[in-house]
Amino acid sequence: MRRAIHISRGWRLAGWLGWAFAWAALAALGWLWHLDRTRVWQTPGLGAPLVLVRTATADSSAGTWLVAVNPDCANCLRALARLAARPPRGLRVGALIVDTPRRPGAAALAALRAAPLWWDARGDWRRRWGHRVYGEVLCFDPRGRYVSTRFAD
Amino acid sequence: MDSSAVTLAAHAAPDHHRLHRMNVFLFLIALASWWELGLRQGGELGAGQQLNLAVAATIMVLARLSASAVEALAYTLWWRTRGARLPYARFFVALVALSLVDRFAQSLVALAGRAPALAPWLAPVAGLQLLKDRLPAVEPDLWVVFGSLGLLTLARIAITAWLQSAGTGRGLRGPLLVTTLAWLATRVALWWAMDLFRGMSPLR
Repeated sequence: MRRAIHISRGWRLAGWLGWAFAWAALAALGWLWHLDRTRVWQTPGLGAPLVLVRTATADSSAGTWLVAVNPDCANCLRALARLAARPPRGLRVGALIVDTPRRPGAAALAALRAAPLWWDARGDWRRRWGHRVYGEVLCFDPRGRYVSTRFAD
Repeated sequence: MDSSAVTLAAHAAPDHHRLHRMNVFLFLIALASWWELGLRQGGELGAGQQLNLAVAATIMVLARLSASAVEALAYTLWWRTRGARLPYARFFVALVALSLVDRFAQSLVALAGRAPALAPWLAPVAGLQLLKDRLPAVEPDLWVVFGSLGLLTLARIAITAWLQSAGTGRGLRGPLLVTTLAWLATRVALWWAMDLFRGMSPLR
């Protein structure tokens, strides 16, 4: 049994406008996605413009892993602590402080029990490298060249 | 309306009531099921240390109810613009009841996690995500977005379409097309949103 109802022209128009808005939002999302995916991002690298705020005591022959941390993010601090407590053989595990425009204070640095400690003062991690997830691990070879990005666990 | 149509309508009404009563029953089971899953997952994530487990489970149930409420509203509005009335409350109850299909799929995925040898056999039913380890070249976000595609997902789409067809009194073809397109559109939107969220960072 077909239950047809009478709807006014205004409501019909409003309905079509609503669906047109939904499709336009999807198209806009797709356009943003296309721009983001086709943008050429810089390859991460150790050294300037990153600021070294704590040096590693021991040198490493196998390379350096840096956990991207924000001092206000409890989860990524825990991820760093777990990885620093059991570093993979021959690797040194440090941290890259991201999304922190002002130089981290002594209390924030004390909470980061790892070395080396780099501070991304210019926000390159997000703006030029295109990375966005805290707690990821940036892997560098012994010469400081970027190898890959992975998860802490 | 001729006499045969009146007879059909008289038969159809009790059927609709019976279907609704069954959906209310399944609705309650679905709530209990999602609550139980919330308690279990909250416990596994250590929520008890910082967040009351009951609160975590309630949040999960409310999230499911909200998702079904929005889905029901979208279809109801769609059919309203097409000149057909889809009873919102009944359709919402039916969608929550139908979420038991998702819950069953999740149980099968968990079963495959405990017994990996079963994964290839369960994948066509529970979703392609069970083949993830065998196809490492596929992008991780595609697994997240389309990993649930399997016979249970297809059944969910078909039943959602049938509920609209029964609710509006229209044929099955239109509702099936609308539901499939809506599923595809939300999956693609999720894919793009996840990519924008992570940027060049990897997905787990």
